[in-house]
Amino acid sequence: MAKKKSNQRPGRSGPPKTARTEPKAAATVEDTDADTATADATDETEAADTANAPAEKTDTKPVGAKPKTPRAGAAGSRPGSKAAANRPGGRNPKKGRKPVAAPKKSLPWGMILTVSALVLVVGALIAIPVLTLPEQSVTDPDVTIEGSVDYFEEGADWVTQRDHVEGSVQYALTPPAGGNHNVAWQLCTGVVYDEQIPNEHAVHSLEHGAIWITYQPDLPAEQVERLAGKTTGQDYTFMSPYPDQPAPVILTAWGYQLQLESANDERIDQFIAKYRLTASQEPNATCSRGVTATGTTPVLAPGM
Amino acid sequence: MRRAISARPILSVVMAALVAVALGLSVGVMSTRENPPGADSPEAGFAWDMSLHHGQAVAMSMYLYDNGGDEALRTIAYDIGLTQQGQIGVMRTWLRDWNLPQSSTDEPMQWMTMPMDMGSWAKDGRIMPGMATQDELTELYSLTGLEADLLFCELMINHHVGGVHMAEGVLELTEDEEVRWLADAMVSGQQSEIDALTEIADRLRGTEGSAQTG
Repeated sequence: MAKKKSNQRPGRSGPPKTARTEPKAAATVEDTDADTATADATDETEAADTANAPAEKTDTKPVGAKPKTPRAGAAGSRPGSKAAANRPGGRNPKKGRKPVAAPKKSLPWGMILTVSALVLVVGALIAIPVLTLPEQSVTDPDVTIEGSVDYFEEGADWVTQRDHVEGSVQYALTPPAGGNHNVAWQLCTGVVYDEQIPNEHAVHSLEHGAIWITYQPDLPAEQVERLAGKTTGQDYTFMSPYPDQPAPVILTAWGYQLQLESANDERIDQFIAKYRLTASQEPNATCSRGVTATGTTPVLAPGM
Repeated sequence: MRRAISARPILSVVMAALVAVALGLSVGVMSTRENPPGADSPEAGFAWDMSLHHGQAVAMSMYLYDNGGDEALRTIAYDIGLTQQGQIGVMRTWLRDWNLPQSSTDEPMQWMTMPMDMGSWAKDGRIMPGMATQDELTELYSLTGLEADLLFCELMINHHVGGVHMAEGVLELTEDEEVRWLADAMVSGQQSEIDALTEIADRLRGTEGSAQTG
C-alpha cells in the first residue's frame, strides 16, 4: 500500500476522488437497507403496504402506515435482521441472485448467523471510513466567501475577452476584473504602488493569476499599512490606490471581485488563498518582468 | 425461473464477494484520504514556500540573461530560470492535485522541524532564507554587464544556499516519493550551481581586478 502511494499519480483528484467514493459507499449501505425493507414488506405486509401507499403520499404522518413502520424500521436499522438473512443479497436484480432464494420452510440458523455476522462486518467496513471523513479545512479552495462576486457566473462578456490591445480600454467594472489589455503586464511580484496604475497593465497581471488589492486614497494609513503587509514580497500580489472605486478596499482577481469596508476583514486572506494563481487564465505565466507604470495611461515598452 | 441446486456454494461466493467489495471500498476510501497532504503538512508548506522562493530566482535569472555580460554566466542564468520555472509548475500541479490553494497566506517556513533562526534572515525584510531584499533587487535591476554579473553571483549563491536548506528540510519530513524526487534534484542541482557560480565569480573578480589595474 505504501508503495502504491508513490506510483499512484494523484491525477487532479485527491479529495475529489474521496468525494466520489463517498456517495457510492453510502449508496451501498442504503441499498442494503432498502432491499431488506422491500423484502420484508413483500413477504409479510404486501397487502397492507399497497393499501397504505396512497395514504403515505398524501399524509405526512399517516395512521395507516403505522403497522408497517416498526417492522420496516427494525429490518432497516440493522443489516443483520432475519429478513436480511432470509434473503441474502436482497433482490438486487443486477447481481442476479434470484435463484439463491432459500427454502422458506426450515431456517438454517447457522447460515443466518454467519451471514448476519458478515453483513455486520461489511457494514462496519463501509461505515467507518464514511463516518470518519475529515472536516472541511479552512483553506479549502472551494470555500464560499460572502460578498465575493463571480463574474463568470454573472455572465459578464469581458471575462473571456483576453486580446492584447494598444492604448486605453474602457472597462465595465471599477476596478476592472478582466477584459482586453495591454501587451505588457504590471509587475506584480508583491509590489506596493503608492500611485494609481494603468488598468490596461493591471488587467494583464490578473490574467497571469495575480490578486490586485486596491483602496480609496483616503483609507486610514494604518489600514494601508495592513494591506501592504499582505502584499510586500508576495508573488502574484500587487496593490495600488484607486480613486473613485465603489468601496474602501477591493480585492480583484480575473473574473472575481470582493468589495470591503476595511482592511481588517478576514475575508481578505480567504480571497487571496482562494484566487491567487488559481484565477489565472495563463497557468504558470509570471509576475516578474512586468512594467512599473503609474498614472492612467498604458506605457509602450516594458521596463523591468 | 431456475431452481437453486444448492444455495450454500453460491452463498459462500456471494458472501466472499461482499466482504471483498466492502474491504476494497474501505481501503479505497481510507487510502485516498491519507494520500493528499493537508494544508498544514510539510509537503504543502514546501510547495508554497519553494514556489515563492523559486519565483524570485527566475526573475533575477531572466534579468541577468538579458543584461549580464559574461556568456557562461548568462547561460547558467538561463538554465536556472527555466529549470526553476518548470519546477514551480510541478509544485503547483501537486497543490492542485491535493486540492489546496496555490499559495499560502501564512508565515513562511513554519512547516520545517527547525526553522532557520528568524533573526538571521528575516530582520532586513527577507521573506525566506536566501531570498534577496527589495533593495538588493532594485540594485541588481539597475546594473548591466560585469557589475550585474558580480551582484547576481552573490545574490544567487545566497539564494541557492537558502533553497538547499529548505529542500533538505522537507527531505527530513516527507515520505512522499514525488516530493522527495524533486527536493533531491533541487539539492544536487543547486549545490552544483553554487560551485559553478563561485568559480565564475572568482574569475570575474579577477577580470574586474585586471580591468581596474589595466
